[in-house]
Amino acid sequence: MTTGTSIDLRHIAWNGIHIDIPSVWDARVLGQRHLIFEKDFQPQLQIRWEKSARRHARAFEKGATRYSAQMGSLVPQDRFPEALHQVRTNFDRILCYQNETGMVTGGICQCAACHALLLFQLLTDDVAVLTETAASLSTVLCHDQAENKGESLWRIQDFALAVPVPFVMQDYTFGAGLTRLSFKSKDLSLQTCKLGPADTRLNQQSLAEILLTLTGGSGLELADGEDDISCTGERNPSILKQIFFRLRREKPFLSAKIRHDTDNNRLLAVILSSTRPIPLTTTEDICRKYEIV
Amino acid sequence: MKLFKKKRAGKERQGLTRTEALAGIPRRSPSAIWMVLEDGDILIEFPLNIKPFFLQLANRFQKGPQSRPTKKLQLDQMGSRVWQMFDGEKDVKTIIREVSEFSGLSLQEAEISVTAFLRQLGRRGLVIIGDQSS
Repeated sequence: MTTGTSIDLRHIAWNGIHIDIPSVWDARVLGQRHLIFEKDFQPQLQIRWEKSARRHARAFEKGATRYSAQMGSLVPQDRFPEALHQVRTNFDRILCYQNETGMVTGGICQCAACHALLLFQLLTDDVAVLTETAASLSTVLCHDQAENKGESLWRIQDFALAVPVPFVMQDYTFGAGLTRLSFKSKDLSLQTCKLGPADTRLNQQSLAEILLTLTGGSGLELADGEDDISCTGERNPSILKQIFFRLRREKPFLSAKIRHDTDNNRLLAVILSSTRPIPLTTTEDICRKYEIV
Repeated sequence: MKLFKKKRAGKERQGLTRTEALAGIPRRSPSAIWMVLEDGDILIEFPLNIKPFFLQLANRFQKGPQSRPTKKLQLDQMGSRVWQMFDGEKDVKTIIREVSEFSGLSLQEAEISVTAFLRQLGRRGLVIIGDQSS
């Protein structure tokens, strides 16, 4: 993707926010609503956001005052930086902060449509970053368009995942060789795991053994996929066993699938657990939309 | 003499920032003796850090020439490859990038792996991190 200022951009999506960032930037997750973008391990920009408050005008004013202490003084509207003018297309309210030397240090914006608050902070003195930031911020989409299709997109680092809308993020881990996202809906828990490098792991354990370790579930009925690069597991216990699992505070029903992405040398696993029977199609659907990009 | 001296705010020792830590250059400690095994894994032998009292105690029960007790550590395939990158020339950033390339991990995953590995080796005194000048 290329903007008018010819900056190569790539799309990322995380917890309800979509943004196109320069392709030379790396996105790091610091919190559920906190991302930091780096170039060659040098932090360039960080963004935080909050979903809409009931009194959104008041929330904006409060936010602007709160961050003023750490970001510097507010830039008067008549001296609003020209580089950031394109950001106004997405946000109906926007304020910038500057340091003692008059350099823009960041800003706070509020989406015209969903009233979400977005705070951005520049983490470098490089003037070019302001232009790149403006190009990125002008692409921000905080009211997820994909949600209209009943899905929310998660696309960061090297993976993309689309989960049905009722699922809300609970937790995440970016560990050594294991990236795990955990979601919850009304009666379903979903965990997605990305493991790498696959060849090393498969030398030590089979797909079925890895799936068993990930689910941690006893009584899982495993079945190898037709293509030999996937494995599914299900647990549909009898009523007596359901009581037993409930006593152990475990969700009795499990449905899981792991597949080997041979092109990218990764293992991708989707694990669903519930107190009610889980249709296998749900696992298959999520698994299909979980991929390395 | 004041028993409870107030710490001066400015004099407190500040840890390294992430950027500074990533710019550090790890090199192998001279006290660590290492060899490449037949399967390519690396075996490191390093002296144990024991308090002098316990060292004396150990020597009393030891027959023959007195020697400092050592410990052996065998690294796995990936650890061995990373160990060989600690040549005193590459900084942590470069190592992370190379690990990310050869293992297929994302940069954030590779950073977590490499920094955890460095922390473990540093705790055992096997790796020293210096800057470009040192």
